[in-house]
Order: sequence, then structure tokens, then C-alpha cells
Amino acid sequence: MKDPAEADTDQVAVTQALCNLPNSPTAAPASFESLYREHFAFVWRSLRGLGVKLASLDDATQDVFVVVHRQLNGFEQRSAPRTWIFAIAYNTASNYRRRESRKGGLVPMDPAIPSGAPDPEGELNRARAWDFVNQFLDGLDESKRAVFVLTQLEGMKATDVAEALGVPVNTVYSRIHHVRLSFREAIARRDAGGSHDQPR
Amino acid sequence: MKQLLVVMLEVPMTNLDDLERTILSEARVCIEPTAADEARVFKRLALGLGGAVTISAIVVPRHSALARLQRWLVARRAVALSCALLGVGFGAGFVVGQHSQRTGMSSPAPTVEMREVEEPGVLAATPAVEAPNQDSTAVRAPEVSPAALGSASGAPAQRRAQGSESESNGSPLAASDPIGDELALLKRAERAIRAQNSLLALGLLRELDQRFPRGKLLDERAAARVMAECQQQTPDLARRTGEAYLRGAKSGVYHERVRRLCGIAESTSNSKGVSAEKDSVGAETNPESRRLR
Repeated sequence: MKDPAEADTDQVAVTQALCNLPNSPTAAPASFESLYREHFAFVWRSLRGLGVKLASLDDATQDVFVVVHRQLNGFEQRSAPRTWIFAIAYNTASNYRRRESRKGGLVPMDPAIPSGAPDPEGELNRARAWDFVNQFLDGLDESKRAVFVLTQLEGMKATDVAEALGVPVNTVYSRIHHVRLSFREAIARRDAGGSHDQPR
Repeated sequence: MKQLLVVMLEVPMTNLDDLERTILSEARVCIEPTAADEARVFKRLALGLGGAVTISAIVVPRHSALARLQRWLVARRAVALSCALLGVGFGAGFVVGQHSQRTGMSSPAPTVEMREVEEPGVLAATPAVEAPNQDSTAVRAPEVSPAALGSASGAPAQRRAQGSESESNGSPLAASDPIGDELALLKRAERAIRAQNSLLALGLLRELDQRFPRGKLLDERAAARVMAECQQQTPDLARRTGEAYLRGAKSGVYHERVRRLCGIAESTSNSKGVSAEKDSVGAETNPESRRLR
């Protein structure tokens, strides 16, 4: 069993290692504000997809951008900013998930449909879709979950995903193949009226 | 062959069937942040990073969906108000009729009696009209003072439970537990120190200073600040910072950790005249200290 503090330190080390991945040297340096504006929604969605609860989402997003701010000067533009930021978000989400699982308390339900929504039916459909996807994601391990979020929800290329996660491209393809199969099976089960239990 | 492989690698992962694509796109829309989310987090960042970023850098855009929602609420409010007035009118008529029957009067009731009926009717209708209208954060956001913002941001669970758009400065939930908020922020700072994320820790401590200048946990905050600063500084400077803290701090609860994180050996602190507790673990010999450096 790893000491939590040590695990946190490892996560930071992994982030720092990932920050120095080689990539296109042509990217122009970006200001913190422009990075924030450009990638806020991506970070927010990624954290949600990676299992950060809505109650912790503000804190987690803030943490990600504080690290971005701190490391921006040392960021050598060798990897795409989005890849770099995702690596930070991935580690942040891992920390939050670990903390939440340690806490084990009740988590407030996500407000799926805001009251007074202009399109309640559409909101309901979207909330159901997210509920389904979220349950599916909860059944995946962390690495496959990240692959699913990046490729299927964010539409990133396998090469970028490999870079963000620090794994070979072939591994990413293998995981994509597996999660897609699982996702199709989950949809088939749902349409057949089965449960939402997902295979690992 | 190599070119084919390159082409394969560049193809985005979008070859899904329609149903999968629909589910995923709807799920994606569901977790999309709002402009208010963006502005709120940025404000917290601006507070935490102590002026390194400016709040004006993020201008809250009026989302078309938000504007539509506001228009819808305004229209709904007008309808509800009309219904309330109609109800009041009918109610007043009914009361007047009852009164006339009881007193045998054929003339309308005096004005004073109508007011007695009218006011409760309006009051009863008011919450139903006002309740959903909680989406004005995006509009009011730039005028929020750091203190008000702080009290809202410290209770994320409660605040988020009201939805993305529903943050309200006047919410009793947002301002209900300042000590809990202070403690939660301090805990986050503490976790950041443990993760050797001293910049985050210092940012959170700065946020604490701004939100709770006269908080209840000032000693703990001071100790956390020293520990975070020690992580950032060179060994010599860290040692000096730690020694200054040890000389001034009344409580000995944090002395051991400060000594470890700032690289102060037990003998050093004793020689400086610090009233140290029973701590035989010096920084130079402590494995945790070596790891954190």
C-alpha cells in the first residue's frame, strides 16, 4: 500500500516528466489568459469525464490551472498545450478520485436538469446520455477511461492521446478497440432493457 | 507502408455508428461548462494567484442560451404576475361578495378591505415567480467583491448542487459556514504541501488571507505558509525562514514539521534558543525531508 503523500509526489513527477515530451517546435508561446480561455472547457469536460464529482469540479479545475500557471515558464512547447494540460488534468483527477474514494462519504447528486430549463426534454435526453456514459466510464479502469474520454468525447488523435498518457500508440489503439467494443455492448444491453453494469 | 501508417495515426477517432455518436455528443453537451463557470473559476484563480492574472482578462460572454433563458424567465414572470393579479382580483371579488352577503350591503367593499386581501395574494405569488430566477451570476459577476466570492467558492458542494448557473451572492448556503470554508481551504493547502505543490499551496494561502483576514486558524495558516515557502526556497533561505518561524511561533504543534521541511536540525533550533518540543528527528537525517527536497 502506497503512502498517499508519496503517491501525490509521484503524480507530480509524472506530470513534470510529461511536460517535456517532444512535439512540434513551431507552436507559439501562449499567455496564461489565452490558455485558460482556450482550454477551460476542455479541462472542465475532461475532469468530468475522468470522474471528478461536480462538487469538486471548481476546486479541481482551479488546481489544474494553478499548475499550468506555475509550469508555464518551463513549458518548452515541445508538446501541444492541450496534451500538456491534459496530463496535468489527468493527474489532478487521479488525486481527486483517490481522495473521494478514501473519504467514501455521500456525494451530492449532480443536478442533471436545471430548474427552469428552456428545453426540458432536450435537457433530459442529454442528462440521460451523460448518465449512461458516466456509468460506463465508472466501469473502466483509469487508463482506458482516459483513452475513451480523449478519443470518443474529445475527438483527439491516437498519437496525441499516446503522448498525453505517455504510452505507445499501439497501446492506445488496443485500448480504443477494447473500450469501443465495451461501449457497443453497453448500448446493446441498454437497448435490450438490461442493466447498466459495464465490463472492465 | 510508412505513409499509410502515418495516415492511420492522423485519423481522428470518430468512426462510430450513429447511435454511439448521438449518445456521446449529447453527453458532451451535458458536461459543457457555462460562461459563469468559466468566470467563477477564473476569479478564484485570480484571487489565488495574487494578481498574477487579472480578472478583466475574462469577460463573461452573454451565452445565447443564457439570454434565451433570461427572456423565457422574464416572459414566465410576466405570465405569473398576471395570474397572481387575476387571482387577487377574483379573491377580492369573492371576499367583497361574502362581506356584502354578511352585512347585507349592496355597495362594493371599502378600499381598506381590498388591500388586506391583496397583499397576501401578491406575497404568496412572489416566491413562485422569483425562485427560478437565479441565473444572474454571469451578469453580476464582475461586481462581486472578493469576500463575497470567497464565501461562495468555499462551499462547492452546496453551491454546485444548485446548478451551474445558480450561484447567488445572497445565498444563505454560500455564507453559512465561514470556519468550514476556511478549514476546507487550509486542508487543500495542506494537501498541496504534502504533494510538494508549493505554488498551489501559496496561492490557496493567499486566497485565505484575502477571504479570511481575521480567520480562526491563523497559526495553522502561518505554519502552512512557512512550510510552503521552505519548499520553494534554497536550503539556506528555507532554514532561515523556518528558524524565524520557530522563534516567533507560540504553539509547538507544527515545529517538528517545519523543522523537517525547512531543513533545520534539532540542535540548530535549540542553539537559537527556540523552545522546541521533544523532537529528535533532524532534517538532514530524515528520509522524508530528503525526498521532498
